[in-house]
Order: sequence, then structure tokens, then C-alpha cells
Amino acid sequence: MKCRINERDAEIGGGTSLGKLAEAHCPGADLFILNGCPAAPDTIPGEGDAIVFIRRGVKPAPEELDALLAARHTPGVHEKLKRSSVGIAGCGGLGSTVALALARVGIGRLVLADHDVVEPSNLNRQQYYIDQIGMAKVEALRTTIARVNPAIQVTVWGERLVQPTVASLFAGVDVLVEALDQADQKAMLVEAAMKAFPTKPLVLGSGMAGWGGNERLRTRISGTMTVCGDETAEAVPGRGLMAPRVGIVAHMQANRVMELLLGPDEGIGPELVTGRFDETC
Amino acid sequence: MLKVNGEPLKYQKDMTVSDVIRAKKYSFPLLIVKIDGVYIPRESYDITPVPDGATLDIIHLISGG
Repeated sequence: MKCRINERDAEIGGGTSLGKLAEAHCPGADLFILNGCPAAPDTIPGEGDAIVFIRRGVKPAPEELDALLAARHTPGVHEKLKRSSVGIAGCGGLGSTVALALARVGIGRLVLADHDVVEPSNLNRQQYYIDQIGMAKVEALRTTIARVNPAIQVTVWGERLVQPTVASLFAGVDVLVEALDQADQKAMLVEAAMKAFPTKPLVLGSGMAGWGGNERLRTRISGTMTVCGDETAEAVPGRGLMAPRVGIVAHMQANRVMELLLGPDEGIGPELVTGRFDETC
Repeated sequence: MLKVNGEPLKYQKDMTVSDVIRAKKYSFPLLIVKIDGVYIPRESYDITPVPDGATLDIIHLISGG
């Protein structure tokens, strides 16, 4: 019987438990993942299943890393995402969070653009650390991404974005994410992208200042363009930008990027949520 | 009749994008306009006619990120 063990094709005897397979393929494994979901050692895998064995607390060899990082993915997702590339314009609260979410799911290539350096007021919502203050944001982010998944290819642009740069820098990406701070910069990016590549999917963030109001945050799709946010709450004197609300919108953007790359996830439709709640993991 | 951001708007003869923005009382300086999913550049708002029955998405670009 054919199956995949730690991302490699394997031929196994029918009726063999995960525990027995682990003894042969990954001695000492104490975490068994079957098709993206943790499973008990006495589970019997079926034809074509994706099995991952992990030794908890042991740092894996670089060649194993890719498979182990993606063990909790829905099967098949990892291969598709690895072949994909995403551009991120702006690496502040939105962009740094989108970049790390996409790095964690193993996007093949990220193109990051930001002209700024990390300063202390960024740390209330952006994915940077005290020891990175003063570093160029794109370099700091590149370092953090490599700590999560060194297989991600990262291209960086450290100067302010202007229209001709947008057209050349992001020409090769599958999806472009707008993650800029100022509304006029957002407008510049949309104009440049629409002119240079009108059919490329573009995911915008608009309206995420303040706190609360989860129910006001939404995703609107118009042609190749998606807008995430409440389209209302502006960052102005008296209303700041903070990690939770900016982070939600950033993750809405990253989640939409996955949907654009993979197609809709039929498994999260209403029939599954109501009908098979006990089987989710 | 037009549909603007999901809501009906009465169509008037020779209506342009600028007329729709005025009719909706949108005062935001930075908007993105799409007619039936097609992007309309800012400089064309005054001269772009909106066909009767069209669906318009008008997106407000809000600072913050």
C-alpha cells in the first residue's frame, strides 16, 4: 500500500499501526500526524494517506524541516503554496503580520517592500523586537522569517515605493498585498498595480484603527480586488493603531491570499461545520 | 437603477462616476471606484459614464496599517 511518510513516498503493509510504522521509519517519534491531524499510535492508515512522525523537542535536520513544519496543513496545500509567490507592499502592522503568517504556511517566495527602520512605537502592533530597533524593517523581517522557515525565498526592497517600482518589483508575484500606512500611498499602489497588471489579485487593508468592533471587520471582493477592514476607522489623532485589530485585518488579508492561491476551502462550508463538528481538530 | 456598495441608487441620464459620488455624499478624498468589477482611474471620474443597471463598488482608502 502506498502512502507518504514525512513527505517521502513509502510502501507499507496494510493493517500496520502508526506506532509500528514509527518504529521502522522514525524511531523515537512521539507525535503522529495523519492527514494534517494528530492521531493515536494504534491508528491504521489507509491508501494514499500523508503521515508525519515527529520527535517532540528534537530539532530536525534541514532536509526534514519542510515536511515537519507543514505536518498540520491540510494535505496537498503545502506543495501548492511552495510554488506560489506573494508581494507585500509595506512591512508595518499589516505587512509584517501578513508576511509571518504566509511564512508559517510555507509560501515559496515573498517580495517585501518598506523604506522605514524599526522604531519603538512600532512594537505595539508590528512583528519586530527590541533588539531590532534601528534595523531596516525589511531586513529585520527577513531575519525573523528565516527563524520560522529558512526555506522561504525572500526578496526585499528598502526604498520608498513609487509607481515604476511597483510595476517592476511585483511583476512576477501571484498575489499582491497592500499593507501601506497612509491612504495616499495606498491609492498610489492601487493605481500602479491596476495599470501594470490589471488581472493580478490585489488584497487591500482599509480601516483597522482603535479596538473592538470585531463584527465590523469584513472582506469585500470586487473583481480582482479584495478589501479587508471596516473601511471606516482611520488612524487619526485620538485613535491609534493597536496589535489586536490591525492583526485581525492582517490575518484576514493573509487568509484571503491563501484562498486566492488554493481556491475556496470546501471543508469549511456550513454543512461540515454543523454536521461533523466532532471530527474537526 | 444602479447598485452602489450593495444599495440601490436611482439612475439619472448621462450620469458620470463623479455624479454617483456626489449622490452618495461620499466626501472621502481617496476612493477606489469599480464599475462591474472594472477599475476606473481617478482622473476619469468626471468623464466616465455609468451605464444604467451597473454595479459600482466604491472603496474608501483609510489611513492605518
